[in-house]
Amino acid sequence: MNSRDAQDVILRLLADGPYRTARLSDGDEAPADVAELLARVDRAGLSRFARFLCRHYYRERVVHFFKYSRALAPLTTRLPEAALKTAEFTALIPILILGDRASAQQVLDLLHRHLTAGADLIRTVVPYWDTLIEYQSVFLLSDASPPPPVAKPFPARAETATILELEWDLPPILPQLLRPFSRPPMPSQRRIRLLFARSPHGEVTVLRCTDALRDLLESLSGQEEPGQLAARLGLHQDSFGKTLQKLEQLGAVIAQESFSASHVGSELPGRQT
Amino acid sequence: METKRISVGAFYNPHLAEETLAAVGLIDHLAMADPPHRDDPHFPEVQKRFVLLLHDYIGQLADPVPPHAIERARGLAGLYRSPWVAEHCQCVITQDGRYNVDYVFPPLYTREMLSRYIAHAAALQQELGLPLVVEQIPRYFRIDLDEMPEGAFLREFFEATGAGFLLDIAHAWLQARYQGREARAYLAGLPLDLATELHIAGVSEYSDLEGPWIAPVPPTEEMLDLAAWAFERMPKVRGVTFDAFSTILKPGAIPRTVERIRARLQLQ
Repeated sequence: MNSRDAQDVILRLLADGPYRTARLSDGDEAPADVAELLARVDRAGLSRFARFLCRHYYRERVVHFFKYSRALAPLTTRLPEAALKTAEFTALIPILILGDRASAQQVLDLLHRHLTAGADLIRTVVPYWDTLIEYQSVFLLSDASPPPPVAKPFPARAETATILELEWDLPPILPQLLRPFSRPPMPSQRRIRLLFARSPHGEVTVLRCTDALRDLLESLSGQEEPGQLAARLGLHQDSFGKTLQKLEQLGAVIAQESFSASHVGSELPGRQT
Repeated sequence: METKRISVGAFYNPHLAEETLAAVGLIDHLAMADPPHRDDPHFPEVQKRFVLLLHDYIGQLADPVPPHAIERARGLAGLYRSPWVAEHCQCVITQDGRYNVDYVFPPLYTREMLSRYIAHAAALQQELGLPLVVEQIPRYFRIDLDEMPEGAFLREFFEATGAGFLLDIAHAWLQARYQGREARAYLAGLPLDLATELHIAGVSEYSDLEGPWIAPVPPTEEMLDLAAWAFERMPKVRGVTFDAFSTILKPGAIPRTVERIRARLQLQ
């Protein structure tokens, strides 16, 4: 094993709870080169640092993505990141993988319990409390790494592209929550739909999702040639192509490897007819 | 940044922008850990009144820095008109991109890693057309896989690339502590003569680590004394920065700490 590969093993030991637990357990039958590496590492120190990293990793994300709940903490007394100081979170650490979507969901489940249990009084002051938590949860989940893409012949909706229906129109009041207020700002109570997309470089974008955009995304199975799909949806091919290109940039659409936006509406390799 | 005087600054913390702007004269420069938020009403004024240093995550030098990351860094360096760009001597992402500790973590100090850091740093400097400074990162737990001391790795790296050393004094204090060494003896092994910038901050206790670690807090007097000791051995240093970037920083912490740094290093 060269030193760059050895570094990768150490990074995985730090980031991947189940891998670390297995490798550091007595009687583990690790590959010889990994066992040799482990023999030259302070295992207890590595475990402590991994625990520190895990708490730090999720704290950074909870503080960032749940900033609106944090801003309401003087009213609610529920500081989101306090959930990460609990014994329940410490017990989760050995099974969490940093950046992993399923791990993010487990942390969110804990966070949800922390923020919503016995929160009736909070809901009388902040009636959109649960909706706000839902909005922030999808943001945090969208930040997690996507599952490895499954090759499809044509553009497909990304697994990380999430459409969320909310009972309160939150986006207009979110900036107000980050400014000083005496009474919490009140959003309009009307149903809205949002699209959360994660770009290939990890940026999460949220935008309002019209019926047309929802229908388009739900039609992107990866099995239908774009021109054919545009015709079926009654869309002009040029504007359809531009929309696909934009969605691809945002990460809401995964293009087939040989696909690029410039090919939309023209012949594609492997085109299905 | 002026070439003949040593600039003293801090990190730009947007929630403290007003008091930062009021401290022009006390604070010469601001290090930028994050791009300015598009809704930040203070950034245009900050941009006008301070020298800004790019101190964001560009890419890990263990691997080639990808084109999109270079493009992003180029854009930020242009926005800030940064006299140099900073990176960390770290390796935090696996080669396949699957695992990322998303925190600072140093590389193994080996010949192979050194070659990689030299090649990728040289390429980055060429792409950006700006000098690079690289900050050393402490290692919390023992790993007996190094082929050379950290100080020798850094010296060879800086001499080969022409990059400057960004000495973080709290990192050095922690590294010495976790190696069981006296801090000044440890510092003497680092290439202080090649340092361009000095970071000063404090440390905090962390229960998970059962000991101190990096924290966005002011330095203790002991840490300032150590910084002053190192500073006297850094003939090429051009900037000294209070290294704290966090929403937990309270009003007053930055100007008070910058004043203490100025007083202790006699940079009035």
